[in-house]
Amino acid sequence: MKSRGKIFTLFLVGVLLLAVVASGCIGGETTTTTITAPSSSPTEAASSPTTTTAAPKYPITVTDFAERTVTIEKPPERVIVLSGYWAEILCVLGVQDRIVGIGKYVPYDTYLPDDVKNRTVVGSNFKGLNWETVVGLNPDLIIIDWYGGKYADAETIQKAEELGIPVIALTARTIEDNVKVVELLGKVFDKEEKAGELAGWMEEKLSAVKETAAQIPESERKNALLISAPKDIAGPVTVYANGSAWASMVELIGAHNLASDMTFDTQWPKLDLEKIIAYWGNDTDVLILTSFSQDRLEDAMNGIKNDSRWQEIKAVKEGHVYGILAGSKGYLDWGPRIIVGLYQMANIIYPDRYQSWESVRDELIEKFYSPFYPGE
Amino acid sequence: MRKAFHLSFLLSPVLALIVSLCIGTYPIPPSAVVSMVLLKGAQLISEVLKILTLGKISFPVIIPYPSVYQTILFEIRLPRVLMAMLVGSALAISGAVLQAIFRNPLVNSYILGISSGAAFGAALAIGFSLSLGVTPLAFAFALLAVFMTTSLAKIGGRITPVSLVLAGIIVNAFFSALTSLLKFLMEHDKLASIVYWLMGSFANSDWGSVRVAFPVILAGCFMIYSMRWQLNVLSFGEEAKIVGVETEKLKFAFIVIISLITAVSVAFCGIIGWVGLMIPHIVRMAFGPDHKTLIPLTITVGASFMVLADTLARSIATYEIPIGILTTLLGIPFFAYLLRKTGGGWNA
Repeated sequence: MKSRGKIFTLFLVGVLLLAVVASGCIGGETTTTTITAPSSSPTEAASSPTTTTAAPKYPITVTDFAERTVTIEKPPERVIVLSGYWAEILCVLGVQDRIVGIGKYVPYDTYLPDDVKNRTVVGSNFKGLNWETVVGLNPDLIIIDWYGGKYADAETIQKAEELGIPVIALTARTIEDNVKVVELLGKVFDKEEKAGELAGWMEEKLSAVKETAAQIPESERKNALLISAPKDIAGPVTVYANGSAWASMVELIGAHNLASDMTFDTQWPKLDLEKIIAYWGNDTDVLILTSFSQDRLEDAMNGIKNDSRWQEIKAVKEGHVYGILAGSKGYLDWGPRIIVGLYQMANIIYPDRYQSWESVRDELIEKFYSPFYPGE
Repeated sequence: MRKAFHLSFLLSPVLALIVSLCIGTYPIPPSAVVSMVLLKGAQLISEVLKILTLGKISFPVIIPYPSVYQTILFEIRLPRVLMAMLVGSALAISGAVLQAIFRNPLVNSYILGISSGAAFGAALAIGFSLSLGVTPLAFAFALLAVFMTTSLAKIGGRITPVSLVLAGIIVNAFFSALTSLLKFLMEHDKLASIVYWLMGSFANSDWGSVRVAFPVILAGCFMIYSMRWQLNVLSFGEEAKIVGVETEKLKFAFIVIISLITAVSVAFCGIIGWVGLMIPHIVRMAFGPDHKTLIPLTITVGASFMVLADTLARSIATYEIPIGILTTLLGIPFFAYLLRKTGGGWNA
């Protein structure tokens, strides 16, 4: 009896230890931060109006993507930005030194310089912020993602307003929204010239895509199916349907997103293989997989190509299965990089019609990212 | 009349199997389904004969239907239907056994901590993208949880109904807290995966999962079936001991078997609630508490119910509905009706 008790205690301790180690591993990501001294802020703020040439422009009033009217009283000097892709725009605008706090996932953005990635982590768009850390940083602007109040976004705005910190809520439901974000941030930071250059380049690349797309004859219009690379290729598959911004990119390129033909209760329905075969098996010319992980992407692509069930889908049978890496390690992400992602998708669906995505990437890096981009 | 009723319940899985194979998003005519199944059977027999007779007797069977029909029917629907039947019977029989040996109408196999242990294992695998995979870890932690519950519940060498329920609550709370911690720390897309997993689904069933689950669950059900007399003795409680039955050893054997079959079910298909509690009660209310009839009927009714619920889950809408939600919503009205009509049928 006693020895059994001991074994059991050992087990309990073991599981607890495992849990502690586990939480330490995940939690570790959030705690590798340095606290910047908040006391330095008054002097910085005081000296800034003399160094900023366009100081008289403030206060500036803008409408953000949550349809809120925000007044920025003075040039933002201590900024918290929760998403890496919006932080990239701040870097392009040359205001990266003003970032004092970042979101939980910003350090994973490989396009950001190390000094931005090493700023204090204050929380995330999804689960909210640690307000003691936020107040300790003495910010004069918080840039968050707007999800329509679905996660911690509405809460964050409310809390920040109570504390008197201005909030700009950004979102991108379409590619064009990313251009608008660039323009908006240019206004907020009084860097409209640089923002105009970036926005202009993005517009130019976008209209080139639209022009080419318009020239594609109806007979050559391809049907594409965009899915999230499944962990288990026998399991349910997430399909990008109507309302998904990534699915709208397929249409922009001049192809047809098959899943947009049907009505689902979400833009990311999960479907089993039989449904995918039944709905679109015979029509799918191109199957595109996306994933935030390169390994997952490759595993799923290999699995699908070698699986007898997936052979019932025309694109798989004919060998047209492709992958696009999403998120901050690839280009299918928000911010200026989405333009490169758009060309990636365009190259996949119509290999001969569009400028190569590599050259678009090189343009973006050379023209805008080179001053801060640490390189691959 | 009663005998016919009884027989129809016993044979219900056959009908449920055929109906489920005919229903799906991809339109295959039922006549094609039936003839393809028959032809496939003939094909298997011919292959077995060919091996047994070293190639002397062979009659090639050709299935004259498009390959897409065959892929949908044999590679997608059939494994899923079989998996649903296996898991349905495993969960139902586990509930029946636990209710009998602890003489407690409110327990099912999840009280042993299996569901929360499995959930924690799955959350670990998903949260850390462990290469070992969700199923093995969910299985391992399900068994660990049962081990913890039974160790905690064993007081003075025996497990009483009260100590088991209390130990189960402790272990469930422990693993639920750990799972919540992981969920809180998890990245967003992984959180969605674990939430989806927790709702239970047969959508990832393929022949690989059937190959593992089939022998384990079949052997488990068969062992319980052959020990069904002992369940009647155990349900007498203390009186069983007086007549000289080694109740503790028997209880332990039953717990080991149902832990294994439930853990396998949960590890492959996530947590599907309510079946283990409801099916044994429904059978008991309809046919009485004798385990001689209760056990086989629980197996077959559990299989039929689950496969029909899953058929609805995959065909009722353009997308997949989590099976756990359907089993509960479908089962409750029927269960409530039987409760009102029979007063519970729990007078063993």
